[in-house]
Amino acid sequence: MVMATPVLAQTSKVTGTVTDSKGQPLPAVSVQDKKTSKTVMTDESGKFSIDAGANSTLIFSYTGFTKQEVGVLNHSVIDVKLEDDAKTMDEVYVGYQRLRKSDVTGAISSVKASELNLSTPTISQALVGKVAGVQVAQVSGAPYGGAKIRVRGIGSINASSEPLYVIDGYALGAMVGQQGTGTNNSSQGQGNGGNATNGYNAAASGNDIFLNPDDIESIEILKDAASAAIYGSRASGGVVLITTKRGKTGKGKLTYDFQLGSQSLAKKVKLLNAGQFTDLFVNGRNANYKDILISKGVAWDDAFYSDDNNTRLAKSGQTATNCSVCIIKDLYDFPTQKIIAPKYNTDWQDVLYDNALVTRHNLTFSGGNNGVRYLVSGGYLDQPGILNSTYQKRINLRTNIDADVSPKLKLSSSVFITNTDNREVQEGRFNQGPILGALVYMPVFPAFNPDGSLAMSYANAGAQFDGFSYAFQGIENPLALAQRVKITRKGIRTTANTSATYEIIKNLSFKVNIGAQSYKEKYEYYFPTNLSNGINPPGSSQSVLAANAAAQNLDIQDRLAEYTLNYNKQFGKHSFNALAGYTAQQTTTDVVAVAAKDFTNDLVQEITAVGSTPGDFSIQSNTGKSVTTLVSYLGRLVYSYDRRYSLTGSFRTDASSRFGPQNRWGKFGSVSAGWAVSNESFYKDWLGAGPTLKLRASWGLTGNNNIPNYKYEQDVTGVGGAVFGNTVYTGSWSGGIIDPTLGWESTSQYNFGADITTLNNRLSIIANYYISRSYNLLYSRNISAISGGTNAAITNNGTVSSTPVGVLTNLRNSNIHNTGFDLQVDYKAVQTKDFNLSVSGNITANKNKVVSLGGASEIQVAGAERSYITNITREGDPVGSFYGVKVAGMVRQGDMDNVNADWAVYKANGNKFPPGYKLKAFPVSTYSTTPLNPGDLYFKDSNGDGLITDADKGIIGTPYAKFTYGFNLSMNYRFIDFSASFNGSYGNQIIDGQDYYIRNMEGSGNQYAVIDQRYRSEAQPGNGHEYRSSRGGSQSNSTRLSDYYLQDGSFFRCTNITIGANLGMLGVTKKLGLAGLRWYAGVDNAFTVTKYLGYNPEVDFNNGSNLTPGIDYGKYPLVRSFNTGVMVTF
Amino acid sequence: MRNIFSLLASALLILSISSCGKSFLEKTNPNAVRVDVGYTTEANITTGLYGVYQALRTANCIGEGAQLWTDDRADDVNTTDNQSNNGEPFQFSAFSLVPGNSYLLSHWTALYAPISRANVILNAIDTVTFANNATKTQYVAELKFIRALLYFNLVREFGDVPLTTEKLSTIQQTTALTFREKKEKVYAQIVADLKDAVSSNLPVVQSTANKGRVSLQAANGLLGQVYLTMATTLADNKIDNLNNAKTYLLACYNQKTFTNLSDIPFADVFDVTKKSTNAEIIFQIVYKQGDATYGSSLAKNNQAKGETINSMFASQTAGGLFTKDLQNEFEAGDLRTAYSIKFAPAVNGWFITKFRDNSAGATKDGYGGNDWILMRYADIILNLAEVYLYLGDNATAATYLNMVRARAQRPDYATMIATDATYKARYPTLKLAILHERRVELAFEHHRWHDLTRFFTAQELVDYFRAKNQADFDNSPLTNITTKDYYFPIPLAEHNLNPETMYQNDGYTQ
Repeated sequence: MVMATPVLAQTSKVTGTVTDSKGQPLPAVSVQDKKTSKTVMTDESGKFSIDAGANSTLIFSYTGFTKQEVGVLNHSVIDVKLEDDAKTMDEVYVGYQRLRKSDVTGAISSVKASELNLSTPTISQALVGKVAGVQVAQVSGAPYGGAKIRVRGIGSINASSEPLYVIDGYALGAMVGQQGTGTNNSSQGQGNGGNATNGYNAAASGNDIFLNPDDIESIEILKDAASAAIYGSRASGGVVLITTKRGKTGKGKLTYDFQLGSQSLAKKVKLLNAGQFTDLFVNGRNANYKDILISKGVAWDDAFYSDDNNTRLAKSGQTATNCSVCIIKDLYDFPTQKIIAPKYNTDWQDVLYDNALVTRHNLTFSGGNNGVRYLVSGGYLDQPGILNSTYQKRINLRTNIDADVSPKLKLSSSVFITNTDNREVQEGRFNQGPILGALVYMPVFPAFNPDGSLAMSYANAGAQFDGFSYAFQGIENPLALAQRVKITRKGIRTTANTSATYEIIKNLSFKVNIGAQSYKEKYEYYFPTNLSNGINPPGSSQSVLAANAAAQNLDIQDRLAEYTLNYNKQFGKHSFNALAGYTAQQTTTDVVAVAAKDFTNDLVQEITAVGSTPGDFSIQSNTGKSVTTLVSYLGRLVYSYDRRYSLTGSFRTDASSRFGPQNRWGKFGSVSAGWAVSNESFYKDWLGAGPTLKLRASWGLTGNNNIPNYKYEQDVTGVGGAVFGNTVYTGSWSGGIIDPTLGWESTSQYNFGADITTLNNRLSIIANYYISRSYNLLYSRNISAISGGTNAAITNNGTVSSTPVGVLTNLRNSNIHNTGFDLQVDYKAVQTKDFNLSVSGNITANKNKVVSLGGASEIQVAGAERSYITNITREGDPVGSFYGVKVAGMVRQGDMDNVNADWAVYKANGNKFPPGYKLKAFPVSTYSTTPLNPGDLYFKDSNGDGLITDADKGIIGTPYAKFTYGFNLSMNYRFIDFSASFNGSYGNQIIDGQDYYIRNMEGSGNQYAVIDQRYRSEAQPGNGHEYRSSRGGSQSNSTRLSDYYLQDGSFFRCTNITIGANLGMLGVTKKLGLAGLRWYAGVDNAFTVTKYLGYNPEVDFNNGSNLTPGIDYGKYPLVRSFNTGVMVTF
Repeated sequence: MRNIFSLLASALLILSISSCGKSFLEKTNPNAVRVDVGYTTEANITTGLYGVYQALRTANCIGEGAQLWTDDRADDVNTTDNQSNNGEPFQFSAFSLVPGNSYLLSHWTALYAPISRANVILNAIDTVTFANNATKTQYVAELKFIRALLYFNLVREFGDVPLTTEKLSTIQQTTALTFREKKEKVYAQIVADLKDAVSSNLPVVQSTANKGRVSLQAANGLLGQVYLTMATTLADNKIDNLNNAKTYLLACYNQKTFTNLSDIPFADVFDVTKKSTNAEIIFQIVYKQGDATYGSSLAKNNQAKGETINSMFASQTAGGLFTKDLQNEFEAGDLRTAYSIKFAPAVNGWFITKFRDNSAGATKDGYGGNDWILMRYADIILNLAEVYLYLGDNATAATYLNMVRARAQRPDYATMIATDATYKARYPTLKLAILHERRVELAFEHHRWHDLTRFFTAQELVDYFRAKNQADFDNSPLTNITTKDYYFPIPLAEHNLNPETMYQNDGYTQ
């Protein structure tokens, strides 16, 4: 739109104002005389002044707006209104290039920064509930943890299903772990999963590498295989493309954000109080005493309940150092058999968790002129954890420059630096991690001594009472564990990326992209002498001996080179877009991990305080180097006709150094088609006013190469010593056999989708349905021990139990099916000048089924505590289904005659029933060596042989939701805005591994509050679900994994509520000289509705393992955070 | 910023690297050498041989901690905790062992580890030139001895087991060999390997510096024990096997370097300062005193709270426990009783004192120097008693039995039968008397379970257990034992590999 006033002179001064479509002045617009190439810029109020010829033409250009050419035509004043560049607004990044949205034929979810919940510390958390077809689970509340992202189900068993992250076009390189195993971006070490204990695992949650959420412009997720295929052998888990903010032409703009948050435990687990616990404790000890005496053939008399501890020891044959029939005399009056009210009632959750005050600062400066645009940002996050002692302190620095060197040559460069400083805590089992410890530790013990110091070793020595040791779980004051075990991680990640695009001829451009990333990390662990060791108190010789330290240096260097050619051509109604490329990427990792022991005290808490014996210092097994390389050729062709039909084909071939020489090159590709039905002439307003309707169909093939390096060659990997005479000699041995044909696993997926907008663009619906098949599964296939392989060890009490020997291979003819749909609906319900209201929602459903394991045996895995099997992967069922026996009921007093009659027959016949014997009562469990008692559970005998054996086990539940969903509400009234986000899951179950300790009726540790409703006697039968209490002896029957331990994992959560005010519109702001001012306040994880008894129904104890989903076990609990902040623009 | 430029500069290097194509993609493990180039020199083969010895040391194999599959399984020691570790260790002593037991799988795998390591080295050794060919033939004999020893353990505990003497390198090759070979064939391989060993140039007795390595004494002794076991557990050739047992046990006996067993005090056998020079010890796994990694922890682990007899280590536990049934077996006045067990007032119970190292060298952390004795002359002598018994020569049998009794300063067999009514009632036959002598002499040395399965058939074993007094067995119900328990089940994971060829032992479900 041009308004002009005529002048007469040949060359004269031309002035004017440039504004945007809303009439706001645009500063720094470039105004060029086409004839003379003379260029000026508009000033702050959009005004310009240029000497131009009367017949000349002025070119107005500004990034983000359509370029406009205006003839001078003797005018002296030219006012120009620039239109938003609809093309750039409507483009989607699809990997290696941007495409017009209308040409996209795959299933891609795009999330703008404005849709994210930016008060969370990580990008993955900001995505919770926002994307259909993508499950984002908040599995940890640790300040250094993130969320788990899974795209469209599980298509793998051994390899990771983590998506590939691509940040500003840089696909993160081969991940790190033990010599390049696994998929994590920071290392594991002693105390966090590196030494056969399950602790916090960086593998699960660090993959968005702690980018600053404030730096995000948009996130695209390539969900279907057709879209992801351009990333070839790394794309089976989907691809997350993160685009960060860049500078825009214009006056420099400075923005400062400040956020203050108060975090607290989102949910407190309901446990027994000290009085209820004492009841359980006394009850369990007496029951055990009775069980033991009866099994010894002693005639029971209830008067024995009055036996003192020494009598109990003598009669039961137990020892004072580990007495499971003794009772603390402060809690039980032996002669009257009455409970004595406990002196302390400690709530260990209150002791361990605090409110944490989180502060976040963010400064961004951006602008651009003369063809150069820049952005500089810096962020600082100080995030203490709610668990006393943990924290993350993070600095994010980012710089990017875009320069138009000439009309043909463009340069773009960015540098990110992220510096993290963590204090972490070990998770998992209570004797290692305080989280489960705070649930198990006995409420009858004090947290602090009268002098304020930590009360130590109460559970163990029992010396505080009467010198007996009461066979409590070997556990120490959880607060002491949290404070005294030191786990720190300091990392610095530098990513630099530079690209140059040169337009060789019109429509054909060549792009070189060179990137490099460096990550250096120091991980340290110190376990002190002043914690108890088993039953030995702090400072005892055993505790001093148990002290140890570890230190680990990690160095990752990743290099990337990408060369792409891009050709764009439009003639008539035909439009072509062709891409061809070559990429090479190399990742080297170098880990040095050492451990030291034999500390004499805690004065120096470093490996340097190692003892003097040579064996005190050792190299950890994850020490080593590795190099991973990937070479790829790729191409994509997009054709569209008349904006009605579009067709896309892509191809990629990858060669990875991880694969065997016989199987090194993988080929991947896709075809997809779209039909914009609404652009057809026959299409009228079928779906309401101003509709668009596009139908899409696609097929793609992607791969997964998430396996360790060098798995195709058999190496001499073992080193250990043999002793002859008095000398240690070094011995060596080879690892197990290998598969030289090792390759990638493949996923082939069809996707059918529809994009609909209607009601004048106010309602938009995106729906996708997909069918995928994964095959050539990467799997450590069981193989006989004759192969010389070793089994992953689970160390317990000196002896080692283990998993079967395996060899990593591709299961040919294997097949895992995933089918599902996802639906995204956005509705702008009210759109007025003062009031806007929009709602959006998404729902995702996925069905997973193992069709074939390609000849491998079914896979049974112990997912929680020690060696009890929790999950099974077998043909016909979903990956990692819950496996066990089913509870058929509870034994009651009235059943006992029949129970005893059956038991007598069973024993008399050599532990089986004679053929044709008809059971009088319940099947006999071969897991149990003692007969059933009233209050015990009995199980379903599915094969009807009268015995409960492994043959009676079956699928008892599913870790997978029937559907997951999210919805968001946002509204604004004048300068006030409000938003609320929710997400949830329905129909999945959880095996709470914590039950092994906090729902075992032993009284050897605290229990869920529901245990107060257990069976006590026929007069007090409880709720009929919680079985009787006993400390050991007879309970092995009830504690077998059964559906008793399954819990409903459905939940509904309010992830965020925010209210904000844009004070920039107020006069007072302008008076202060500010360009903008926004204030907001909100709450993250406001509430969760769930029946689950533990902290958080989004469980992931095994850190994303496909084979053991749905297991909870001492993970860092989720936090609720109240935030407030201001954002000032200068 | 300089850092960043160097980063990008290094990335540019990828241009030149990646253009090399093949070499850019072919990466070998920088931290390890490929197995086909790893064993090509005498020095490498030597470390490979040591690697085979190393595999013996673990508790899952036959090291000092291997109690679960031996004494716990038998009537000597009882695990009473059926809660910890999901009750899995408890299954061994309670005769409620299920195929899915993960400890059992570990044991199975650990028994095969030295076998497969030995196969790799035996496969490579032929093409390697040694400075002295005698070294090579000795190595081969040592490797074959160890392979035989482990197959002997496997066949005794599981019956028919997969048998391979090849170096395996592919999945196909391994799968083809994943089948249970009849136990007769497994014994044939054991005998073949040991015959090679007894006819080799191994030293009769290893030097003090080489204690822990295989000797001719050990090869003869083991071959004799193998034949003895074959005689009582295989259907055929009983007499031939007994005669062969006699031949090789006597060959071993005749290689002894002492005159009378009584010349070696019982306590000396377990004396840490004499472990490398004691003439009775034939084959042992050596543990290094004061060493956190290679030291023995038996003395420390067995020690009860408040005691100092075993170790300077201050124990807080009840120490090494054993059954009342075993305690009853010790004869009053037997010097072995006082040496092997002790009552600890602090825990109001008995504990094991057979393995002691309370010297300063073992430190207060309890890194003992106790070697784990796999074979000693008392064992061989009692085996000879067994052989003569089965050959019908009770008189000679009693002579050998009496050698062991004499050292313990106990009256001879004839005197006991004539004068001690309790003894006569408890051990009415010479066979039971020999078994009793073995139980006391070799208590806690992990022989008991293999002795029981050698002395008894499955049914006899069940009867033997059921005749005992439940009160002497704590929580493990004696009624649980059935004939199936004679063998361990095949671990579930191995059975599942091929349920037909890896068939389960009788009586085990799944």
